[in-house]
Amino acid sequence: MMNIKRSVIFLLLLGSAFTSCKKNLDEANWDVDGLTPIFKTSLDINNLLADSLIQKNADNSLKLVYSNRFYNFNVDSLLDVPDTTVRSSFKIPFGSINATPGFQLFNSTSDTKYAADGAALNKLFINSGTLTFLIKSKVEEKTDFTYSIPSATKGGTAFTFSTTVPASDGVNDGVYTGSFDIAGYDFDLTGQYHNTVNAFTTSVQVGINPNGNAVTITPADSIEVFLTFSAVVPSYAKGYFGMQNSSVASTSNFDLFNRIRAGAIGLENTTVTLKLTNGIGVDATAHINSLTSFNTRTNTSVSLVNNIVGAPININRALESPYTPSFYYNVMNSNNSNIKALLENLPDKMSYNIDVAINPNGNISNGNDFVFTDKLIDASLDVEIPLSFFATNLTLIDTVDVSLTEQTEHNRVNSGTLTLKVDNGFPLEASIQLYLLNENGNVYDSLLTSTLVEAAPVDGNLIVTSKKLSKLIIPLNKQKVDKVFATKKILVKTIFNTVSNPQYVKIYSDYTMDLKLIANFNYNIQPK
Amino acid sequence: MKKITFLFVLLAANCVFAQERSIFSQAHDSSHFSVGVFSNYAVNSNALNNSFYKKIYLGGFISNDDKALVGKKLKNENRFGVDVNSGISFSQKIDTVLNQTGYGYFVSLRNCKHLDMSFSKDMFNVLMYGNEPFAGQSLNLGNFSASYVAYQQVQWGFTKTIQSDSAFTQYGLGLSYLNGQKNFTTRIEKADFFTEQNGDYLTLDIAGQFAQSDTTKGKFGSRSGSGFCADFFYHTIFENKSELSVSIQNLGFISFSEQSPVYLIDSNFTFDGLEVDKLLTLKDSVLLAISKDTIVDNVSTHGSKGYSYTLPTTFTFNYTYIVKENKLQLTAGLITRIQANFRPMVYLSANYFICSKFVLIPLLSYGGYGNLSSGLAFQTDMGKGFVLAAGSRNIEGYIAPKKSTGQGLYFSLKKYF
Repeated sequence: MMNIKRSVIFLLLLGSAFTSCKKNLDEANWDVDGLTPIFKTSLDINNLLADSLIQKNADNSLKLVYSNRFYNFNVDSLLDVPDTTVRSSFKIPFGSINATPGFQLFNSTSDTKYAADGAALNKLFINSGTLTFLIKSKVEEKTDFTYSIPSATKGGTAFTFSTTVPASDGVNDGVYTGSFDIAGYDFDLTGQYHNTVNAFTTSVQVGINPNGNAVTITPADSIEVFLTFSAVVPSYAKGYFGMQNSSVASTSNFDLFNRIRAGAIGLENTTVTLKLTNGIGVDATAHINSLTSFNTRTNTSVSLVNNIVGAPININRALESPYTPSFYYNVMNSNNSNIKALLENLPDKMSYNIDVAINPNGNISNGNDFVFTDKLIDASLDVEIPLSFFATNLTLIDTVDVSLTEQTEHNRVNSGTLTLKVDNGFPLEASIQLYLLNENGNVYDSLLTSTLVEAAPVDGNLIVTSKKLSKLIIPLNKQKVDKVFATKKILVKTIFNTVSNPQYVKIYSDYTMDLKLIANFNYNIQPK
Repeated sequence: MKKITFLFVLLAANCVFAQERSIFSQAHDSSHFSVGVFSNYAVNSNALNNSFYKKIYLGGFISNDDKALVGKKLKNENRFGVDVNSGISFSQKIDTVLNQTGYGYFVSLRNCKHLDMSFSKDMFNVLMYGNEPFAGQSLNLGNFSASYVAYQQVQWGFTKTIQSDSAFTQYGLGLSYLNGQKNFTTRIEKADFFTEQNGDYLTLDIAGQFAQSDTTKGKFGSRSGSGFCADFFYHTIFENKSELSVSIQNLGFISFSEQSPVYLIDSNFTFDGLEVDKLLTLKDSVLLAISKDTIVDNVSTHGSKGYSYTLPTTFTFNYTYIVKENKLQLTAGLITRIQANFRPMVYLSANYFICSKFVLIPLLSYGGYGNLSSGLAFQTDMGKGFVLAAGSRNIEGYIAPKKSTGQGLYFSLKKYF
């Protein structure tokens, strides 16, 4: 039997050796030439500009609608609520008291005045803020302390808190500190008798702790309370805000032309409405001393010329119930202003100098001024630009986020071209280049070799008659493919020129541009 | 009990074919049992050459020159097949069964792999060159079928020998349990593919099906399915010593589990680019949307369900004529397979006795997966009960790999006790 076993084992080993040939680590691979469309899309003006910016006219022509709020009234200039500390002291006036545990030392209700910086407020609703207590006790026994503000309520419940203040050791005061969030509290500032302003009612009860010992209280055994309101932001106030003047000279962003980096544009017509909104329950008078458009790229500026500049603008107060803001409009066009030139400056900044006088006629509301702090006074420019224009080397720059995961497949592209077929239905020609940006935002390569998208042909009325096909070529090799996959942003630079400059061409809602990307590539296949 | 071992070898050697039977079995007539090991591989095609196989299997870059060599042999319909088998066997003679003599039994364990494929010239060209060189042309990728199966086989069978003074007849039956390890089967009846000259669009008019065994399994010994098959053999020696053999091998099936992905494709599909809305945000989703999976989703309906795979069944007929006893025998035969993209193969071989213990076997064949092939084998009685057989049905594959389309080796070693 041993002979049989040896023979079987020998045969098994032999068979195993014969059949155990393994493949090499190098996989079979070969190159193929692929030709395939990748993606397609059709772009209309809404794809090229934000939907919110475009409106269609009755004749299907389009207009650009844009609103820029360049001025906001600062609530601090109307209603400043500074950090405030109020001190209160409690002691017996003379003699001494043998206070047993549970003995009530003080029970006091009074009004506390709040500094309101010239305003006479009768209501103040708190959006956010903190109330901090510092209590110092010279009583040589623990005292129970209850503090409440009956005129500060939240959901109908008055602010109140209780604590036990440590005993003094005869040398050092017993000290308690604590902070409370007062967001959402409504303060009635008319005092406990509702006949004053800027005052809130407080109530204090102090007694010997029931678990303590009897102690003798003298006038020297005082209790001091320091009440600090800090970082108070009101959400609403009512009263008389006083006669105030605010003057602001500042600069704000104007981002309608943000992507434009060079070139010139001619607008056939434009209308800009200056809108002043008064959301505060006060009368106001505004003076727009200047309004200037700045193009920081070309360092050019154009100041508004219109009869509104420097003239007083009276804005009525808002109504509280129902809440209704007050508006003032001034429509500017080429006939009454230089607003067209101001916009053709392609501004990215607006500078302004505005004075606003609050309650110029005094307390005519009898203490019924009001303010919701999120509804103030602002000034904006509502721009309507018909898309009828000419462009000369109008250069737009935008960046495109790229998020392509490193994949082994892309490493197998040997070479090829991507062809972007552009069937242009707009009466503009465009020169396009795509730049790869590194992590520092610097250009380190470009993609296109042919860059011109030809304009669609137009008829005598400058209306597009058909589309025009152009092909943009992106040559690829291994290095370029690696770069595309590694990049996180691509900068798109487009230089536009309208046909028939300087005649204005209109953009209609049915104008479209069809794009299709076709890949023609040599690819190394390695089956897995 | 005579020639039981001879019968066993025939039943066991799935793809070694009849001419590789043990010529020396009669010399070990007195042995009661035997053990053996066998292994073989065979690759053949009427178009693909050995140089091509080598790179596909062993790795390496397939150049355009390599493709061109294949291209010269491509026809409208091309075949390719691979068989790899190995196993061990045991057989024993039984003196009497129910007072009858001439019976024996055998047991074997095998590991089997089979791949076959039928493909068009256009299919090869598109796969190897890509679609760009054929832009503007309609390509026929249809009439494509391919199947691969790997399984383990446990076989038990019996033999019966009937012998008279003037004639000798043997027959046997083997039954096997099959462990289905891995399978894919695809059949594309129609696939008309067109690439627009400038790449503006691709069209594919396709109909077919694809089934694959449970993709979570597939390693050696894992079970994706189970099946059964039967083998049958009949052999007779006439009075004039000439011999006739008939065999049927692998008549059976493997049923794969319900977790098998099955795709039904019937689509006239035009791809002119993925419609994208947010052009100015280039993300993976844009590229992934045109991934292989997405395209498959677009052209097929699919789900998981069980299916049955019919094994390639081989039918063998051969006739051996004794030209000179113990010196030269000539064998002519026909082999055909069903369910395997196999063309009937005719062959002619000679057993030339160099000496009483060494036989040289030259072979010519035509058909099967390839065309004309030549082979060379030997069998030798090594003494002490060892019989070795080895050879190749496609010896030209090792001599001129770039010009020849087939290769294969077989080996068996038996020990008689």
